[in-house]
Amino acid sequence: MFKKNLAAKLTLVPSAVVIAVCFYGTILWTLYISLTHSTMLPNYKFYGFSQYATLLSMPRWHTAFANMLIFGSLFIAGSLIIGTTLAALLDRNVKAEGLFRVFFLYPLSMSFVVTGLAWQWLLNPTTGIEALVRSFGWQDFSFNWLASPEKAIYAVSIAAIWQSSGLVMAIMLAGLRGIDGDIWKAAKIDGIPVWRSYVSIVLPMLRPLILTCVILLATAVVKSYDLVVAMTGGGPGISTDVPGKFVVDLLFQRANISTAAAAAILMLVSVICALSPYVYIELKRQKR
Amino acid sequence: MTATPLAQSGAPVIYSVPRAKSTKPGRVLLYVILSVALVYYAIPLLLVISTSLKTADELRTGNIFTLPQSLNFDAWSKAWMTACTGIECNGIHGNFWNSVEIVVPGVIFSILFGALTGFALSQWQSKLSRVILLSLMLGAFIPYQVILYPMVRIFSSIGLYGTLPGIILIHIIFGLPYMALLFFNFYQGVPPELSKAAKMDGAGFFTIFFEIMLPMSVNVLVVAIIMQATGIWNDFLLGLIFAGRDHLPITVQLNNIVNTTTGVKEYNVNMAATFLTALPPLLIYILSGRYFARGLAAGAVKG
Amino acid sequence: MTQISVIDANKSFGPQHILRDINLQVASGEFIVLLGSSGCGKSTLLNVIAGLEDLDTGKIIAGNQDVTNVDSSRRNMAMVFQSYALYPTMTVRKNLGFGLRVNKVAKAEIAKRVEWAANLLQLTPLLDRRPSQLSGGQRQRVAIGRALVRRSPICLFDEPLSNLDAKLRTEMRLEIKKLHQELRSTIVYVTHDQIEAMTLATRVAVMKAGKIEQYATPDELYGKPETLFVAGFVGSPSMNLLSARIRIDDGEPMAIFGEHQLPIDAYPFRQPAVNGQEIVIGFRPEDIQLADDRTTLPTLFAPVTFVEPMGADTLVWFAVGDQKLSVRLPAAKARGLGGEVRLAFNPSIASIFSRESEQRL
Repeated sequence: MFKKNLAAKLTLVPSAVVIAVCFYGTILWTLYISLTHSTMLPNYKFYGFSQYATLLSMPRWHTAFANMLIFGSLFIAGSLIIGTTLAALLDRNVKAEGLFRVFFLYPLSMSFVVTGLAWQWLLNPTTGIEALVRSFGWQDFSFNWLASPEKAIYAVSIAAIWQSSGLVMAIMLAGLRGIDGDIWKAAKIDGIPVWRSYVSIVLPMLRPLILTCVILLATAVVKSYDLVVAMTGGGPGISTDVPGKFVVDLLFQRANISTAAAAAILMLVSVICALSPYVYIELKRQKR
Repeated sequence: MTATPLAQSGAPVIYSVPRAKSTKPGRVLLYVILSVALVYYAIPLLLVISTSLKTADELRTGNIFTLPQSLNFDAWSKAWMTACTGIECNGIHGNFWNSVEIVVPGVIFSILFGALTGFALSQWQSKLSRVILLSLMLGAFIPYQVILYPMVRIFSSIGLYGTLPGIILIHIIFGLPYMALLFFNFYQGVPPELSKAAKMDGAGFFTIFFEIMLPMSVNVLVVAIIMQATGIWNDFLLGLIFAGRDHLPITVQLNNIVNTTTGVKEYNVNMAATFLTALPPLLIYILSGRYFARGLAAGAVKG
Repeated sequence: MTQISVIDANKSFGPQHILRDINLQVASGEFIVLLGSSGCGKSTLLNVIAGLEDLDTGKIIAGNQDVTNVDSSRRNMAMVFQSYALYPTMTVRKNLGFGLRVNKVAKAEIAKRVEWAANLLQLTPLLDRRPSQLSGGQRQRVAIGRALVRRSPICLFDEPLSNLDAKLRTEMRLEIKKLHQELRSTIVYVTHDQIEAMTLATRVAVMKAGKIEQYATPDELYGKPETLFVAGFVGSPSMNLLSARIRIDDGEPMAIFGEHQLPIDAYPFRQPAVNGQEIVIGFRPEDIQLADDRTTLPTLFAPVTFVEPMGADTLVWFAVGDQKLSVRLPAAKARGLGGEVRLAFNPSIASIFSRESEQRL
C-alpha cells in the first residue's frame, strides 16, 4: 500500500534527510560536543557538564548574555511600539500611504551589515551627529555611545529597531485592516476617542498578531550576529558581545569548540523559551 | 458626541454617526508624526548616499549633513575597483560578482527544492508528512550557531567546504523551511479536485507539478524569488564561514573594507561600498511592490 | 461482458464505516446510477472505483483486470467532477487534449479527437478561451468533453449537474443521455436527485448508510421497491406508506389500520402472511382510484383533508385513522371533491414491508 503516492514520498526523501541531518542531527552533535572537552578538534570523550560550568563563569559570556537580554527587551519593545504606532497611524486613511510604506519597509531589504555600517557612520563621534550638534554651538554635546562600553549596546538597539520596526508595521497594518469596521462605529457611538479605541479595544483583539511579532523579533535577537559585527565588532572591548558572536568567535578564532557548543545549546534553549508561549497557546487552542 | 435620529416618524430610527470631522489639528498631527518617521527612516540611507558622493576635502570640512557639492562618483569607482581590506586592494567588484554567482543558482535551486517539497507534502498527507512539516517549521527557528560547526565538518569531509557549490548548497539547505512552507501553504489552497482530475487523465506526480501546479503558482514564485534573492544576497554569517576566500560574498568584503582597514579611513569610499552592497536588494524591493510585504507576511504566518 | 466488478468492498474513514460489504456488477455499456442522500457512501464508492481512494478490504475488477492496487492514473477511466476541475492556466483546447498528451497519443490524433468532442458538445467557438472566461454550463461541457476525448471504456460522473441551475440541468441531462446512447460507454454516475437517476439509468443502485438497498432497473425500483427506504425515496410525489397489522380472517390476510381494514390476499406474498405481523403497506398516489359501483377492488371510506392542484393532476389528501394518504387524480375528477369518499386499492401492485426489518414481504 505504500506504492500509493510513491513519487511524492520519494521526493520527500532528500528533504527528510536534510532535515534529519542538517537541522536536528547537528543539534545532537553540538549537544554532545558540549559535553566533551574539545578545543580545536572534536574529542569525543564524555566529560559531563563541566563546559557549562566553565561557560557560566566566563565574564565574557555574562556580558554577552546580559546584552542579549538588554538588547532583546529594548529591541522588541521599541519595534513593537514604533511599528504598531505607525501601523495605527497609517490605518487612518492617509493620503500617500504608499509613499510612507515604501520608506518604512525599505530597511528590511537591507543586510544587517549595511545597517550596522550606516549607523556606525551616523554615530561616529568625529563626523556624525555629535559633531553636527557641536558645530551648532553646543560644545558639550556628547553622543558618542559607540565608544562607551555601557552605552554601546543601546546604540546597537537603536539601529536594530530602525531596521525591523517596519516588519512589525507591515504585520500589524495587515491585522488592523482585517478588523471589522463595525467595531469602530460602535466605539464612536459610545463616545470613545480614537486613540482609546486602539489601546483598549483593537489592540487586544490583535493579541495573536502581537505575539507573532514578539516571537519573530525574539528569535531574531537570539540569532543576532551580523549587526553587531558590522556596527561595533563586539566592542568597545567585549561590551557589545552577544551570544551569536561569542559562539562564532570561540569556534573559529579561539579554538574552543566545546565551550562554544555549550553556548550554542544555551542559545537554542533561549529560542525554545521564546517560542514556548506560542506553542503553549497553540496546544491549548487545539485541545478546544 | 450625540447621534442624530434621521427618521422622526414611527418607523425604526436609524442613527447616523456624524462624520468625525477628524479634528483638523488631529489630521495635521498625524501627518507630522508620519513625516518625522519618514525622515527618521530615510536619513541613514540618504546619509550613506550623500557621503559617498563627497570628496575627501568635503568630508573634512563639512559635517555629516552638509550636501556634497557635486555628484562626484570617484568614491564609487574606488570602492568598486581599488578599495583595500587588510590583505588586498581590489575593491568590491569581484565580490559583487561572487554574490551574483551565489544568489542566482541559490534562488533557482532553493525554490525548486522548496516547491517540490511543499507540493509533495500537500499531496501526501499522513502522520509522517505532518511530522516533516512540523520539523520544518521548528527548523526555521534554529539559530545557525548551533548548526555551524557540524556542518563545517560535514562539508569539509565531502570536499565542499569553502567552495562555490558548497555555499550554494548551504543556502539551499537553510532556505528549505521557509520555501517549503511557503509553497505548502499555497498548494493547500488549491482545490484537491484539480490533482484528482489530472490523475484520472493519467498524469503522474511530476507532470501534475510542472504542467498544472507550477503555472498556477506565479504569485508565490515571485514572492519566493524576492525573499530568497534578498535573503541570500544579504547573508553574512554563512558566506563568511562557507564561501571560502575565492567566493567571498559582497557583504563579507564590505565589512572587511570598512572595519578592518588600518590607516586613514576613507569614509566616502566606505559609504560608496555600503551603498553598492545595498543597491541590488533595494532595487528588488522598489520594483517588487506588494510582493515584498506579502513575503514578510508569509514569514509571519508560520503554522 | 462485465465491465466493472466491486467485490466485498469495505472502507472506513477513521471510526466511520463508509462502505459496508459492497458488491456491484456493471455490464459493458450500462449506465449505472448510484443514488442516495448525502453521507450514504455513493461518492466514496465512485472514488474507490476510480482509484482516488483505497479500499480497506475487497476488490475492484475493471475490464477483467484486478485494479484494486493500481493507481488511478493507470486505470484508464475518465471522470467528470462536480466542480468541473478544469486546468485554470490552459485553454479549452489544451484542457481537452491534456489527458491524451500525457498518454503520448499522436498530435494528429489529439487534434482530431478534440475537434470531434468540441463539435459534439458545441465547444468549437470556445476552444481558445480559458476556463475563467466560461460560464458554468460551458465549463461543465468542457469537463464532459475532457472525459469523452479519452475514449475510455469506463466513464465516471460525480454529481456533475448539481452546480447548474434547473433549466440547464434538464438540458444537460438530455445531452448526457444522448451521449450514452451514441457512444455506448460504461457509465457510473453519482447523484442524490432521483429524477436524474430514473431518466438516465439502465440500472440504479440505491444506497443508504454504506449499503446498497436495491440494485435494479428504474421500473423495478419504482414498481417493486425492495426496502422501505427505496419505496419512500423513489418517486415523486412519494409513495404512501401506511402502518398496519396483519390479521388472518378465515385464511385470508387483512391489513388493519385503525378502524379500517383492507383485504390483501391479492398481494404476491413471498412467504405466507403471519397473523399479528406489523407491516407498512405502500400505495403509489396514482395507483389509488375513486371507487365506483363496478369496482371489484378492495375499498375504503376516507374524508378529504386537503387538495393540492398540480396542473394537469391534483393531489388529494385523505385522513385514514391518524395517518395521511395522497391520491393523484386528473384535475377534472378532483374538482369539487369533499367529505367522505370511497377509494379503491389494488394490493397486487402495492408494496408491503415488514415494519421491523423494512424488507419487502
